[in-house]
Amino acid sequence: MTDNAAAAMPSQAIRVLVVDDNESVGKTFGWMLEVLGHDVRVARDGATALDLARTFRPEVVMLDIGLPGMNGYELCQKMRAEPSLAGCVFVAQTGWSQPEHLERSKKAGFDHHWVKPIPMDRLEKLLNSLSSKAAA
Amino acid sequence: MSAIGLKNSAEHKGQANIVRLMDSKSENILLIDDRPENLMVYQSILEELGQNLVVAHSGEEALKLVLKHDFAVILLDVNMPTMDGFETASLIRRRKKSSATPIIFLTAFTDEMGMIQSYASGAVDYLPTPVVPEVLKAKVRVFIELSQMRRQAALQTEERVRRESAEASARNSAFLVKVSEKLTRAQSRTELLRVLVQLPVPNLADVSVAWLKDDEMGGGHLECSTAMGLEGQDGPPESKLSSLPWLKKAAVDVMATGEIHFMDKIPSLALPHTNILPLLGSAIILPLVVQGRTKGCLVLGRQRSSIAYQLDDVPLANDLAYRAGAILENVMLMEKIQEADRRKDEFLGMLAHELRNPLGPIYNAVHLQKLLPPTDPRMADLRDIIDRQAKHMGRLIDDLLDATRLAHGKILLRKERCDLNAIVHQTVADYRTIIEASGLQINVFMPNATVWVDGDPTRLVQAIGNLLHNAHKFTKPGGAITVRLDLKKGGSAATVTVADTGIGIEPKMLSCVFDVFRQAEQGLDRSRGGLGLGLALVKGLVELHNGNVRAASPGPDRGAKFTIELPVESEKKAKAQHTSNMSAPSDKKYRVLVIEDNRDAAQSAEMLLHLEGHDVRTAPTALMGLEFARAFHPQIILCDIGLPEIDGYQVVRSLRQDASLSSAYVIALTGYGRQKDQQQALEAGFDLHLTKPIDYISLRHALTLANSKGDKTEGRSS
Repeated sequence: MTDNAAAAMPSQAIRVLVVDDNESVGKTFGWMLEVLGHDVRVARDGATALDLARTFRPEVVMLDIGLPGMNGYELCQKMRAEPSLAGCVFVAQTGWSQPEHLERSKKAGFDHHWVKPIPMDRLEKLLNSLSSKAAA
Repeated sequence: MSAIGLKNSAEHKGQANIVRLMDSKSENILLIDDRPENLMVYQSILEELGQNLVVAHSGEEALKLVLKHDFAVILLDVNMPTMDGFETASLIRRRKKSSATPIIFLTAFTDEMGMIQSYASGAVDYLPTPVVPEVLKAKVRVFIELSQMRRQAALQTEERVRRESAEASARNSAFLVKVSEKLTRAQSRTELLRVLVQLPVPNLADVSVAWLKDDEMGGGHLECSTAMGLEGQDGPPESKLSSLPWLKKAAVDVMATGEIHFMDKIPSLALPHTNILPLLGSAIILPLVVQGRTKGCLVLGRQRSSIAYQLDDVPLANDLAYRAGAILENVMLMEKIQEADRRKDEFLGMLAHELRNPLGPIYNAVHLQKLLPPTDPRMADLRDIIDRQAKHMGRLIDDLLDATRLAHGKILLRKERCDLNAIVHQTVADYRTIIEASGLQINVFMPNATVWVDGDPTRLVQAIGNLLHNAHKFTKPGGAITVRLDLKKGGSAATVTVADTGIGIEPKMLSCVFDVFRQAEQGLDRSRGGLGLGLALVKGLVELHNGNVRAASPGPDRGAKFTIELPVESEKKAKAQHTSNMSAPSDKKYRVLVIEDNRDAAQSAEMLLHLEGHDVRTAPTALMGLEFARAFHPQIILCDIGLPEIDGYQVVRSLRQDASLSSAYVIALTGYGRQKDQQQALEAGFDLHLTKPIDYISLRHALTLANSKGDKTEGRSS
């Protein structure tokens, strides 16, 4: 681990669930968040993600929109309805950037709509703020 | 007022007669007598009435005159030598033109028989001679007044008809102006038809229907039908009209022939027993023509209780249909443009989406490479991820550029005799690992022989590769992909078939799977990704090879089969011309000079070449490059085109002029892969043109080509 990463170590690990059908995305995201000191689980489809969410109780869910079977919007709506996930932060990560897509994310219940590639500093900021809130 | 006897100077007098007769304000009076002195008398008596007096000296002459002119009254002498008055009168009566012209007989006989005979032969009055001037004048005046009144009445009628027709034509023009005005506002075909059917009701029609041919779905289909004037009836009017088989048939007929169909009396048998249009009595069916092609039809109908259509109604109806056709053309054009625009926007959105997707893992992986210690076992994985995603991105961009080139006809094939068997083998080998890694089985059936085709091996690999890529993308793990190469009977053509057990294709999509941007609707999730260009490229490339492509599928989830058919070269011809371009990369080591101002690009190329064991120098400018070249004597030079100050074209020209460097193999590097750029590079003296980014594979390939050139040169010199 570099000094830089160590300096950015959060005071409290955040439980993050990453849902992406692209294995490379899931893998790299997972590793990166691990390196940053967070607790990560990766799912490749909606059904697995829902199951996992119930036991893992993520604080942040990073959702790809283009998922096979159940898309990110539907999955977000389902997760929002789960009482165990109350207070969880939902981030849409997508290649779509037109206003109508942002609108649709909002409707589906996402807190953030981030266009790929996800800016790491933004993610770190979000996790750090949650982390310090949890620590306080 | 004078009348000139016909006997004297007939020619002169004839003209006078005509001149007089053309005076429409006066009435014509015909005086018939064989004796000029009598005529003189009548003329002098009647002169003061101020009318045109025309004289004839015989019955024959009189008959000729009544044929040509209208007379208010005819004075006829009964006693004439050749044809007497009675005969003349009955002949005048028989002529249609003069059947009602009043005739007054003049005769010396006043017996009852003569009078009866006079009236029987058509006289309206009877005057004994010698005439009493006042009586003659009075009688003639009565007939003149009568004629004037009649003429006046006729004039008035004529005037009324003219005014009515002028009003009608003004009404029609106003109607047509309104037609154009209303129709031009339509933004779509549906809207146009809706407006069109409203316009003729109620003045021109009680009922109107418009149909358009469904071009997309093939001829004969009717769509967009709209009806007006049937609101009171049950159910949608369109369906009612199309349920009249004769009307539909007539409409289809009009659309096929482009001719107007006029039905002034529709037999009641043609109307079904239900209340569907029970009252339709007559109809006009008109074609809607766009650029000489019938695109639809307009039906105008009148109820049985209305006045049936007459042929006179056709011109206005036709004007309406003509204008509608002209505006339909605009609307169709506009729809086409809007559709293209919409597709373009959609495509750009999708393009951004597809290009962003691989960027994510690349960023992540690079970030992780910085965070993780070099010995971390995940490093190898990260490299693979970057490699895979960058290749994916490159592939998307290549497809996009190729599709653009194809669309503009800018792909030039580097054709040579090549073995399709080897090409299919190579492509399958390229894809086997990735296909099997996804849990798919790949079966290959090939003949045990060479199959010579005249083609560009790179492009054929690309086409077959796209089919394999497609099959892989749309088949779930556990499925199978089967690749076959078959020679057709007679050996004139070969087919390459790629069949899978994947998601299959909807029958209605089969006809357009090869269209650019035509992916089956994936919706926003786009979990399978792609630009929808792969199959379009396959089609384009295969057609450039004079081949054809086919797609078949038994339906969704039942797999798909794609077939490429290519013409086969005869073996003899092929053998004679075949030169293998697929020589294995050699292990020969070279002195390589890289002239490139982008430090990263220069460095990565140097590293790759160095790893391969070559002796590499890099130069960031053209001047340094030329200087190094003269000292270092490279066998291969990689030169960027867009160098500062002196560009790559000038570098290659200087190199070629230098005897000691002229045999070097010089490769151009550019960011543009357009045909024009390649052409320009080759013309400037480059041996090869490579599009950036330069990867390991294209570099190896370039070295192989350099090697074969070197061999040839050596061969020649020995």
